[in-house]
Amino acid sequence: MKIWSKRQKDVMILAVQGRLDAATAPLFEEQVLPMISAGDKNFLLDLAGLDYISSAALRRLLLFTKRAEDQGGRVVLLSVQSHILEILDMAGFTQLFDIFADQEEALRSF
Amino acid sequence: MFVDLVQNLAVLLVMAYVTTRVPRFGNLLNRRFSLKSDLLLGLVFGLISIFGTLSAVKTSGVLANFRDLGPAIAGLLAGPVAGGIAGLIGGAHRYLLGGITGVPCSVATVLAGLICGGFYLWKRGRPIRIWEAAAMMAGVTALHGFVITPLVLGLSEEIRQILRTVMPPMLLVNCAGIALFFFILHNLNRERQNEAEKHRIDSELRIAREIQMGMLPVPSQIGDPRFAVHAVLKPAKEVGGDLYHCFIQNDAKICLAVGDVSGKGISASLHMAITQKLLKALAQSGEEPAELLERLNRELCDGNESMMFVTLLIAFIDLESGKTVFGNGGHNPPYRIRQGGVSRMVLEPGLALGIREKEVYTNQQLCLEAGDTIFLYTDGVTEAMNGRKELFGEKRLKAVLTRLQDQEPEAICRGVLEEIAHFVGQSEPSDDITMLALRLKKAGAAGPAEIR
Repeated sequence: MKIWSKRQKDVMILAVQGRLDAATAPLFEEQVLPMISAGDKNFLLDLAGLDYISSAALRRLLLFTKRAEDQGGRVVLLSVQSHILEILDMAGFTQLFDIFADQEEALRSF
Repeated sequence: MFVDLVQNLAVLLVMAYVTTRVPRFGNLLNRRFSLKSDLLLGLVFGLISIFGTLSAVKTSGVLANFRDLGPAIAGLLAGPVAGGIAGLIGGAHRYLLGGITGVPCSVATVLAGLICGGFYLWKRGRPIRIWEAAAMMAGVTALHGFVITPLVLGLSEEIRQILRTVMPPMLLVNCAGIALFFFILHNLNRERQNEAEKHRIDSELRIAREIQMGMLPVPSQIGDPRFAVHAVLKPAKEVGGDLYHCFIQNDAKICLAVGDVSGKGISASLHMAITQKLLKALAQSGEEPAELLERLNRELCDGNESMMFVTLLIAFIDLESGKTVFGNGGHNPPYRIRQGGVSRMVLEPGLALGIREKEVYTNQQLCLEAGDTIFLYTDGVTEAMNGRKELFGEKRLKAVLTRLQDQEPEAICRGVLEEIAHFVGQSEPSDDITMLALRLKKAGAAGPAEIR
């Protein structure tokens, strides 16, 4: 699992690549939660390179989203692959997130 | 000379180390000894002391040796009795050999055991540190060379010459030897403690597992002629986050539930226990699945700072008509196995429990026919992973269910488990696996059930 970050105005764009499972989910949390403490609150998660997400990782994604929303921010998803979308949909998570296919459109939503 | 001395020392240390591994001496660093084991220890280290004399290395006509090492170790390990006996044995042997340093050497050897034994008493059972052992050894060696020998023999030029040649290597090798010995002993001790700690955690986890398994009903014991039901729950670790429930309501409906707490291991198992108990308590109200999910969800949202969530599927099946009401909190839909086809039932997902307090769930109705089997499971089945990081997947599950479609619930569960085990091979289980299968029997097939 790797995360690339890039800021565009007041939105932090995070591209997540690889597998988010029980082993890598804590790393995800360690990397992204400090960004909220540092003052970021709007996040665009680019999941084009995400191969797999486990339920342990879903919990950390939720926790991250909750923390951002506590600060008055948002987390939106970009380019979710179909098999990841299936996992999100199964747990009813697609209703929790705005999901975009186009980055410009996603950025305009903030 | 040094090389020979060190070589002999290595042999001695191996002997001493082997002695300490003798089970009856147990943990040498933290225990009191009985008189019997004191005598035995004294005897063994006395013999080691004799070896220290016999293996002495001749240097400029004088013998450099580590006779004092055995009694010193015995004293530090078990006190003045063991140290004294070892010293007496080593000292008596040395005395019988005679020579000009015979008297002072044998006296010094006895004193080495007694002094180190005294230090053991002064420590009152606290473990001897490595530097303390080395310092004691240096002390008794210096006492031997610089006090006892001159006192008995005077300080003639011959004695000075002997001391100058022998003392530096003896001091160095004795101190290094005892330090090494205690270093090994400390390591051994730490290893044993780690082992004990690991053993303690393992046994606590085993108890936790028993408690967790004890919370689950055993549906195959229900023994109702109208259906056959079987459940399997296999945690990936000792404890897990999967759960299921199964009970009969008013002799008319059977209620099935399968759930999965996010994550696995201890944290998931705590949430599993909470959810399982809540589900059991709330289900007695007789409410429909959706209302049950809503109440459960409100409870699970309360104070859920860590965002643990639970996916849960509940099905109430009318045993007369086959009418089935589902409530789905973000769980995988079940499979229906019917003569001529296996299909995944289509259910609205609904949100997993524990996330949004005011979430509303819907009751979804489908009909089962006599002879149908319904197969509920957790994603540990479809996401079982092999060494190449491939998932077992819905396709394989559907294939094995199709192959087993005429079997009873127990055989179906067993067959799926075997298929998964075969697929996963040597890889560690990646998630908890749960299956709950129920077959509605055909009215005619119930047969002897009518006579009740």
